[in-house]
Amino acid sequence: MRNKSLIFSLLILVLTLSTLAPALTAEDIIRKRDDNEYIETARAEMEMVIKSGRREMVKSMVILTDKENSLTEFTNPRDRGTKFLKRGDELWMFFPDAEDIVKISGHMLNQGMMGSDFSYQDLLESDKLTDLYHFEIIGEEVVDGRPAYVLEGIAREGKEVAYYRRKSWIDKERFVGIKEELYARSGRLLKVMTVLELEEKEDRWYPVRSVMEDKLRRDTSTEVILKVLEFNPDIVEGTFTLENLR
Amino acid sequence: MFFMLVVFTGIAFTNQLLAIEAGGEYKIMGSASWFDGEYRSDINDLLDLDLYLPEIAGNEIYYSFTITDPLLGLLEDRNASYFTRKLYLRHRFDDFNLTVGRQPVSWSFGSLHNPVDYTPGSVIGDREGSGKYTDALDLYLPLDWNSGLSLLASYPAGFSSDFNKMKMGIRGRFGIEGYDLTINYVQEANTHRNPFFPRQRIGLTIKGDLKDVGIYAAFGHYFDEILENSNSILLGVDYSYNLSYHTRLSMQLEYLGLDSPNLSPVLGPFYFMDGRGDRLDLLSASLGYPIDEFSSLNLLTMVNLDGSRIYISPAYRNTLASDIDFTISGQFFSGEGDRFTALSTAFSYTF
Repeated sequence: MRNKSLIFSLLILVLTLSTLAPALTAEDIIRKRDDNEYIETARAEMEMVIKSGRREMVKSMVILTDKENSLTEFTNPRDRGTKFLKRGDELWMFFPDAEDIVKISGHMLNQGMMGSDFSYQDLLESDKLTDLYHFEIIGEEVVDGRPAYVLEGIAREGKEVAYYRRKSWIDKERFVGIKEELYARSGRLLKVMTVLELEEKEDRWYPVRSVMEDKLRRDTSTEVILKVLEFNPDIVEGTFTLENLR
Repeated sequence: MFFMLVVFTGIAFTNQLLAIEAGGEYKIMGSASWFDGEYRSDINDLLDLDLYLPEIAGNEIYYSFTITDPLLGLLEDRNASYFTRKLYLRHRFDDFNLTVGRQPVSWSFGSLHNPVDYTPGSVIGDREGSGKYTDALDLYLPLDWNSGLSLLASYPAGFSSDFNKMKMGIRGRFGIEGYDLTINYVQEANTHRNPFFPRQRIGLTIKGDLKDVGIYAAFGHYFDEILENSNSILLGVDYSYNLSYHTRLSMQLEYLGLDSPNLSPVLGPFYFMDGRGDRLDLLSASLGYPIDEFSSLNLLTMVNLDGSRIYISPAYRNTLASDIDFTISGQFFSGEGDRFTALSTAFSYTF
């Protein structure tokens, strides 16, 4: 009887201590997500399936990226050899037929990249989300059977971002974004990104199949499928240069 | 060129690990035109083939060619023709790259016209002529991630040891404070050149952003032992106007001034925009309207500022399936009593 009462007391103590443990703040959650999803250097092979009604177009690419820069080369027949070099906030493009290298004007960055629902600006935003947005927890929900924190991020003053406000659903256990709504400053919903498939890669959960729906256009979406993802590959010096773009 | 083809093919087939991939585009086009009351129509087809060869001993090899009328040549009584667009070898040394063989040489910087291109008039907007493909030696010396020096020796009449048949060029490209700045010098070959186009030129280009507007400019100075010195100037802006959040009208407007009729080759296929005056002031505008992810409308307009000539070319492009495109375009020209109208349609398949 004494033993039973001791166990019960310990159980009460553990439960009490666990409720006293500090709850995660929005910053903690986003930082954990950033730590999980943010890539220092990587090599990825991806496919973009652009859909509009019953028509679809597939674009495939190989991407090399580090903290600041990325080099994307398209490999599908239509765009084969087309390359983008993103270096800081500059974007350069290589056209394989003419073998021209042209600097992309700043105003072009909000246009859809190669006809997709991802803008060049989406590609350029390599900063951690915590650096770009101020986040708050606005609730908890279950998405496809996974409990998730719901956070709202408002762009930080002076930061150039593609979307003024974003509402993010972050898996409570894996700390990976599983859904995101992107809003304009006016409050209008622009895009919805939904993660369709996650994979555990080197002890971190990573979205390998997701879909971006443009809410301002009917029946259009871009599905992104990550075929290969290699963390911390050897990136030789001179990779992110105009010389290498040729 | 045939010798290089044999050498490359030989290397390719003696290397057991070599895997050659091929890709390209087949296009069939129909056109109808009216010029001074005369009607003409034509059908053509075209095959662009690119061979993708793996690196051999650190050498990159590129081979691309075009066959005109490959199908109609078989079906009708007309000859197919072959043109080598690329057949070159590139080796990346520690401090520089060397490219030898038939290669495209284009010094585009994002403008519609480029009066200081290596081959004048070879690329106007998205219309590219065969003039940019040349047999050349190109030595590229990188100076920084966005800066470098290119030294070129090309042979417009094919490789030759005769110095008089050699065209030379040097181009420096520098990234300064977000601006793309280039300076170049070109000396045409003594033989195989347009005798009315100055033999030497110096060119400057600059491209960058002024807030939300893209700006660019070029200046060319042309000189010759016989012809009078002349200059060209190009000023341009590009801008995207939001019709709605997702529908952006892309616009490009540029002014081209040529102070001598000798410089009309820089207009390339648009030579007819040059009037009979001593100088040319040409205003060109391009508009792009994306209807959706699969179709777009484009409009190219040129006006000679003395009011004598106008050219309008609308185009509609639709991607019917992932690799099949349909294009319909028109060309309308009016100037000093001449009128020209053309309509063309094309289906292309990319593989």
